[in-house]
Amino acid sequence: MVAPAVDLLRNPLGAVRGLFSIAAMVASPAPAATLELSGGDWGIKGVFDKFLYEEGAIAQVPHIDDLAHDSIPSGSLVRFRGMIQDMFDVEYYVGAYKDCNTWQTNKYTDSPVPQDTEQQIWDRRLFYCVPIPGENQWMKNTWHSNAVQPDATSQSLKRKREDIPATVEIYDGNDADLKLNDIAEFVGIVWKESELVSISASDSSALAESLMEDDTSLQLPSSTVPRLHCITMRKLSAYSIPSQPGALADICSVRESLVCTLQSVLGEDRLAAEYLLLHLLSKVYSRVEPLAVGKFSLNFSGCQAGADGSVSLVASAVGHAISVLLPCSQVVPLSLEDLNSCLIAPRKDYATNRLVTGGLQLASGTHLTLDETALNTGRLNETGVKNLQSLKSVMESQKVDYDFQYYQMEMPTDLPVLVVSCGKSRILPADALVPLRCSAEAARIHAEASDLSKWRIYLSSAREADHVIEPSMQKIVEEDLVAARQKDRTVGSETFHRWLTMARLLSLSYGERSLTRERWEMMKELEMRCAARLRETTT
Amino acid sequence: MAEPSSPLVFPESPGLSDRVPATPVSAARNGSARRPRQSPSAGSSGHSTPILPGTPGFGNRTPNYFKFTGGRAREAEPQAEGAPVEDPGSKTYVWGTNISIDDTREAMHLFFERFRESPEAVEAKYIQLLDQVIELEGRSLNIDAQNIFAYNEELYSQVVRYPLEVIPLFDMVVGDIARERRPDWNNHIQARIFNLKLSTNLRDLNPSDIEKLVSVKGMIIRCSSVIPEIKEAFFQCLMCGHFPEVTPVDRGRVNEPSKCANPACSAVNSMTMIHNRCTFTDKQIVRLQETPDAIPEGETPHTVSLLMHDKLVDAAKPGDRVEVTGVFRAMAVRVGPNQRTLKSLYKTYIDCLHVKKADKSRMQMHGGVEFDNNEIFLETDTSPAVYEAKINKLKELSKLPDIYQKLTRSLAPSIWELEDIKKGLLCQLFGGSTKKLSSGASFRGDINVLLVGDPGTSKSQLLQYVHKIAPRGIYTSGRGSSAVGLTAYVTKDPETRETVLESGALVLSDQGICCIDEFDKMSENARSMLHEVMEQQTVSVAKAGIIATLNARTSVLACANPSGSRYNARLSVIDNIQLPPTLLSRFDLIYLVLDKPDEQTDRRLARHLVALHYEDPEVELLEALDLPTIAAYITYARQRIHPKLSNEAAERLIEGYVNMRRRGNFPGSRKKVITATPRQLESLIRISEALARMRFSETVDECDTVEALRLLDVALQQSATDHSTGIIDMDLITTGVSASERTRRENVVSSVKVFIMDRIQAGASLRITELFEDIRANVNQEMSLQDLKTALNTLMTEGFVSVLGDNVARS
Repeated sequence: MVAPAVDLLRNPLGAVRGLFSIAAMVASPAPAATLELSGGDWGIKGVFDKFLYEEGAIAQVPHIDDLAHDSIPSGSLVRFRGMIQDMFDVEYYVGAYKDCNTWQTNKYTDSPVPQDTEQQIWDRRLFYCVPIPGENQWMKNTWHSNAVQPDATSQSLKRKREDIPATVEIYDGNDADLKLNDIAEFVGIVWKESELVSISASDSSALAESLMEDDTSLQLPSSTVPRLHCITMRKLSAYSIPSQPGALADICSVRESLVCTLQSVLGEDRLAAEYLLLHLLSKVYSRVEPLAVGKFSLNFSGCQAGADGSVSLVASAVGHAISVLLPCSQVVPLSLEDLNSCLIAPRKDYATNRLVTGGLQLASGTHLTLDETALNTGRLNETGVKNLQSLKSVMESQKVDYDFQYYQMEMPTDLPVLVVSCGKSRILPADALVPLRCSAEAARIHAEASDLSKWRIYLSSAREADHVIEPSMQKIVEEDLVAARQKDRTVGSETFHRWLTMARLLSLSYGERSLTRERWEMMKELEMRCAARLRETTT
Repeated sequence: MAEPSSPLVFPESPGLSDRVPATPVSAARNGSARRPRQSPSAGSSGHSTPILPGTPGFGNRTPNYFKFTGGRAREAEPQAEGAPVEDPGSKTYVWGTNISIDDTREAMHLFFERFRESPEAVEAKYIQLLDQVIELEGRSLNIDAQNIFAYNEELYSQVVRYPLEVIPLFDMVVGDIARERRPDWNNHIQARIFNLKLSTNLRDLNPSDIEKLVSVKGMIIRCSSVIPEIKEAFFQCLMCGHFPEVTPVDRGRVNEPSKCANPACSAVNSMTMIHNRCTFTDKQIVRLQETPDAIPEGETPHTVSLLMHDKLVDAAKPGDRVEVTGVFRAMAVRVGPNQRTLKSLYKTYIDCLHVKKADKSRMQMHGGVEFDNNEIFLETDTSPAVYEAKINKLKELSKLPDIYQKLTRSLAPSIWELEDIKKGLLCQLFGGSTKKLSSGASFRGDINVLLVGDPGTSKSQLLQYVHKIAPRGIYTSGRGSSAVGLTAYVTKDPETRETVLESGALVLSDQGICCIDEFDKMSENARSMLHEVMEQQTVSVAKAGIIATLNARTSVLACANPSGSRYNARLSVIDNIQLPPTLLSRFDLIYLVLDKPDEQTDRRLARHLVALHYEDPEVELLEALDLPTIAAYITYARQRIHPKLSNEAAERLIEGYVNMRRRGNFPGSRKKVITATPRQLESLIRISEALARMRFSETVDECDTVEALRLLDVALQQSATDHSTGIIDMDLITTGVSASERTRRENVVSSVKVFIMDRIQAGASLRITELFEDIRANVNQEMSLQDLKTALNTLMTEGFVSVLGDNVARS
């Protein structure tokens, strides 16, 4: 395929049309052949992929939200990074029409077509994407630092960049591997109507009107929400960070420095810092209904509530530390008013045919810090009870029930949850409970930028790594588990799950790929010290 | 009436007469046919009445046909119902294809007159059905597409490919035949075609389906209000009052007479429409959404709009699961009103022909509804052949010697051990049979199960699992549900101010299983409601002047923590459960889910968990049946198998029951143990029936009763209970013991018995430790002191030995 001699960056539609006309010509003038054109993309994705990723032109593509909204001309190439918040129905559009005996394509645009022409109907899919919820500032900066402002005029505007949602049209069945709450970077052609136009069905009967009434694309006109016609895209994960310059040299020392920092954040509590590190590395790596294997939610007890209803000191210090370490995180104070006021699980609104988002619609990998110290005594209403159930279901099985009115739909998720509470949290059952023993005030994180970037890379790569167990080690583990249970009947499958998860995370935190005796013993040592603390607190 | 937007005069129409493509789907056809046929082009007709347009649907079917005379395409007049214009010497074709109208009509006639479902049938199926329709003054005839396919494959493919043209032909042919059967018949009968060979997944609809007959399944989520659409317009002259014949709506448009037809008047532009005398039909827009089971993980459900006509309006309500058959259509979207340019978007919908309410995913108890072909909304789900194959597969399964074990294994495979509890739950799922005596008294067949046990023993997980496969399963937590939440609740509809009964969990799970978690946390009030439900199987509501008795033929599966949140081994069973005996006795099976040390079990648990964390966990579950299979198996058994008690089984039951009664007869034990009552005898019968059902056996055999007795025994740890004190000997708990372990124990018991027969004279006694040493030295079998004690206990209940302190005596 010869790359057409047009500027892909400035006139992407020109390239699209060029490639289409070549394909249409090759396909011979037989009318049946135009059907074939609807299937392929005439090599467009290939051309753009090569241009953007191999030749590195992606850096020159402006972010949709870097531009003042009214300065983007329709038909320019932009990129947009966001989370898929809602997936709409398949859209049928005129993909090609015959104009003076030659076929013209209308793909990647919203331009109107002349009436009374021969037309081809193709389909595409519309997604509603929002800025990644809970994304931390440093992460946004990393993505935007390598973006080049397209020209001087927009730079001179110096407007404050704001996160905006966008609708994305996906073509050629590329939506197949995209799921709700996925994060992706879309590159495509932005299209917007110059003015708000009223759209009506081709006949204005009551019937047609009621057909159109809950049409989602009408509620999101491109004059208010930019519409991106996606040519190519990359799926991203919420834990991965864009640039990872090589492996870290000395994992153990990076680990040590990170634990020390976490220790100071937690009022010099080393044990809690170790648990927190493991917690930050956890992710769900397999599901055996109804279990989510690998999750490791943590509960710090013994925290004081913040003064006059604000977030407790520990929660805010830990929350801040996590926000500079992980790409996406949120601190949620659990106050009665908040719990009772609005639902945190998303629900479907059939009147608009859209998914109403909730606090728990987050990309997998987003960290949640729940501050239970903010919870006062009082009465929970129906909403409050439902909200607590949703939180409980996230902690227990990493699933959120989306309310589709006629049925609940379970959406698997992966949100590591840290609960900060006064006593042991009975409402939100965590996998591990650590009573805090602060010998100093919980402090906000202080660190060099270079350290921070090292820790971020460390956390991200350790979280992604695989882990195995050797048969010999498996024997030892089994024996240990049996012995522990024979000794203490309260040790049950819950404890076993926790131990196995911790042992795995501990190995990963040292950069090891298989479980060793040393790490297993280390895990037991941690658990022993934690159990001792628990006994102290209860007596 | 050559309007410019009509595809009929499309300039690019290929020479149709000689270039009929081999595959009837040509690009040209697709291209043009998709254009809106009904766009009322601005200014094309000054006399069009503006309020009339509408999409052509099956409410007013007016197909487009072409008539070829000498190779030049010319439009045929819209065919008047049942009276096609015949023009000898020319052939009429469906536009753009080689389908001849006459040939197709001929094929249809033959189909109606000849098709019989079985060779023995005296009269043709559809003639018979049509006679019924005529008799009942009906307006529609359901035609099974599978029948069309069986009779004439070509006709079937024509209907599916060109429904807009071929279905009106069906209407005409039906009309013709109707008039043949009854000459004065004057009504229009619609042919409603259903049961296509292929049902399309809502998600897979694509542009190539446009204007094809499709069948999709889904759940209705929204119904619009009824939209009246004009069918015949009535005009009257304002000047003289003259009115002509009603004007039929032609493709969504009415031609307003420009001049009064009364020669005496002849006023121009004087005709006005009289709404009251026009005829209207009903239309409705309904939104269909994919059912939850069709949605891939992590996706949101797709929806599609449906257009319903006439009788189909309000045929289904939001929440119904339906399968609709209709034509998939697309309608252009316009930029602003009255503009010539079109937005490039199309809005799609399905023009419905037939709606079938289906509820396949949940099982129906009473054999479902009879197959009635001419009733619009009730049909069987699958074709007989597929159904047959499915049934045969289930029957084969039932013949497996280890089907009981297999089912047990497949129930909640992620939960380790607890085998006997799973067996109890299986019995609940299968259920006993409901008996109705001629005197009117009825005995419930539902089995109620209570799980009492320590926290963290996977009780809730078991509940969740049962809820998943149970018919009409409702899951509720005792903590959150008030009495009304469980039973029924009277509300006032905010709009109409009508008083409405809102069903609670128990009524909703009528004919199903109501799972109640945290039973012990439930308020006294709510629990008392259960008394009625669990024996009389009804709920009575007396509120706001309404006294209603609602059916709640539900099995209850409840789970609770012991009174002290952990089982206290020093207290009796009753003291631990702490539920009123009246309620307790209504549960057929009460399981104590207790945790007890067993190295073997621990080892397996440890291995299982390590595997879970490090290996592909799929491997372990291979032997289990998958969820849909179990559900289907249970459904079939509940519907079709109604086992009867055999004589041997009955005797065995009586014997077992008498034994149970005797056991509870220790002096002063009445308050400490759960004694057998006639309710237990009923339970035993139900459980035995359920066990027979699992084997698809029509008789309850002795083996079923033996197992039923054992289950009841295990449930309350009867064999482990000291009946004089009601305290359970924790070492003797058998719950969760695997089958192999049980066999081993049985072997131990029999060998101990043999040994004691040998060594101890009747009446003599021996110290247990001595006996143990003796056995160890002489019997070639692995045995621990614990095993011996267990065995002795069993032998004691058999009355073979008596144990006094450390001494064993043979009685």
